[in-house]
Amino acid sequence: MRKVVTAIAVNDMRLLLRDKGGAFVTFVFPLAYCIFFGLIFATQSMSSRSIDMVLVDEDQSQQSASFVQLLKKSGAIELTMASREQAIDQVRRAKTAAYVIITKGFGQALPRVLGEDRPKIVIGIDPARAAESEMVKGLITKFAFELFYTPIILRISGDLPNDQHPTKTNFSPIEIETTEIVQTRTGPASSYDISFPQGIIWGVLGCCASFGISLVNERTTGTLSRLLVAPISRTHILAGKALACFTSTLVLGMVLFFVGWLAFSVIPQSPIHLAISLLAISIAFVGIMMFISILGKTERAVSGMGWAVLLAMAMIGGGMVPRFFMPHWMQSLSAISPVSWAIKAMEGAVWRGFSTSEMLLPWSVLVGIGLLFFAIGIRGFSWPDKG
Amino acid sequence: MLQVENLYKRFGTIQAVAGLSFNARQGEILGLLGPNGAGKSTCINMVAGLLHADSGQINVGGLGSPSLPAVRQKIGVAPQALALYEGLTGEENLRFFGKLAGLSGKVLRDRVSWTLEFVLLMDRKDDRLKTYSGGMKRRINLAAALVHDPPLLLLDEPTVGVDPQSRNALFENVLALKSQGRTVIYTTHYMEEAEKLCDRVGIIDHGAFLAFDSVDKLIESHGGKSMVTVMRHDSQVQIESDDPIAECVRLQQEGEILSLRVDRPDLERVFLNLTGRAMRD
Repeated sequence: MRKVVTAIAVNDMRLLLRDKGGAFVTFVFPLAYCIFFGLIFATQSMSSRSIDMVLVDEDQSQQSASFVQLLKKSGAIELTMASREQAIDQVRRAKTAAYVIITKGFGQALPRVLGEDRPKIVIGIDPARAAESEMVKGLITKFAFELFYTPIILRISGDLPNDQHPTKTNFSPIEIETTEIVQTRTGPASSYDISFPQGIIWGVLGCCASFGISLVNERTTGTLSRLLVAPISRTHILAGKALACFTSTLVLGMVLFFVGWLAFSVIPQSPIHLAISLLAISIAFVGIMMFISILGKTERAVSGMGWAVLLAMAMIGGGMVPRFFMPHWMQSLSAISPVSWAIKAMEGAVWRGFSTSEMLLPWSVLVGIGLLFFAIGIRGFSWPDKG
Repeated sequence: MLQVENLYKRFGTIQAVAGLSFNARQGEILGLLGPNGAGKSTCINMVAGLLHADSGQINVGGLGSPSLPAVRQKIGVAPQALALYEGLTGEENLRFFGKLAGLSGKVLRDRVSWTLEFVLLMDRKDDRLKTYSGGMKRRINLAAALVHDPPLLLLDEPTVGVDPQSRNALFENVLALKSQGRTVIYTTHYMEEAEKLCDRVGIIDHGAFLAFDSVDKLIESHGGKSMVTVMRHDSQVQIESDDPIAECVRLQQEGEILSLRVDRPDLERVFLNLTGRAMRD
């Protein structure tokens, strides 16, 4: 049984690789998708993103209020107000990039901007976000200058020698203390964390379509009849076909994630979860492949109908546009698409930090979809001796 | 080697096979001769285990029905449609079908080599099938049926669309298979193939045998008389005769003959006499 099923699966995979169009759709296009959209998402986020921060005003003075207003007006920082505890918690859980605490006595310390006891601000940020940390410090210093420079510093520094003037030194009118908060990562580390699961989905869809169409091709060219007269059962034939699609899908996912890891630092938070997700996705799309094969009598019909179904799944499920770009109602609707569950399973393992119990839902749904569609496909499949 | 008893098969309103019964002995080439749609391929497909008969029995080598995989192990099928993978090489196709039949290792390698040699395609074994000519594809189609060394071969119109050279090569292959002791069921609608190759021929139409016997006996029973055509200076005469030689002698005695032709009855005449019409092709 095992040898025969393996022989059929190997034969099918060999045929897929020899079909240049099929191999392109299955392997090359998804990788191009991953890289292309990874680059696009990365460029977009670099150019337009503002830093989101939580601000804690412990001073509650007129001066601190003015400072908050300046920060808010700048547009470079997305501010929300919170207590110190809330701010630390949010940064730790990576809900926000950093916190800024205007310490008590900030307003009273304003006249002492040239002394040791300057107004103090505490910034809490993940040490891994060094670039953003320096950017925040720079912005805080800039706004502190805007707030204090004209009214106070010029007045106080009027008597200083020219080489000690504040504008000629590394002077800062405020003291900035940085606290390192190690974040529990819950967001994508880069745009490739998003583009790779999406790209892999396109490869999976390509596999699914190719093997579904190849089943019909076997029927129309007569090779399926030849398989039926061989000393093997129909179970062998279907198992071989399923194994070919399953293996190709699994290998595709593994290879693309390996490329992602090697070249684009796509590092799954849980490799085990990712492996199980890829298994569940392969099971789901083997079932869908079988379903696709019954959508028409000819290769052309199955190709047209099959891709129509798969594209609809991709559109609704976030295979074309990431789900978080979709309106809320569309995100809810996407639950009907296997693509949505496949992406959720991969993202859960790669960057969403899902626990095993959280992963159980997408895994179960994917396996359930696979079994249901496989059963429908087998029931509706038109064997040559029935037609 | 093969016993078929009272086989029936209907597709909707069409009675494709209507009560076929025959036996095929070891080392015999048994021809099923008939026009397109006569029921030859349906019969072959039932014997191969691809189609289930509505009623009737098929027994292969005393092992039972071809619906059992172990029985199909004894059968090699070369279908009318070239059921092969065009994207694979000749050798890869044969290896694949050999593996499906349970061959592996050295046995598989040896069988693949033997069949490639047998159909004279060893030099093209590494070329993909899509580069093969029609005749080469027919030969590799036969090789795929032979790769697992079956004692019973079902060849469904194996020479359709091939050039005379390939056709002759296939004839030689079939005769060689017979000499190896294999039983061959050979369907065709070409009379000369049946005459040349088959030990016995069943003339089939509308799913039933119109006659079933050796070629000579069929001609004797159903071929009718020989036709003697004589051209004289002033006339042409056609005479049917059971003894054409005696008739020729008699005609020569009657006067000068410019030309003389004797058309002996053949299988085509048998077929036309039995079906009352020309071949449908």
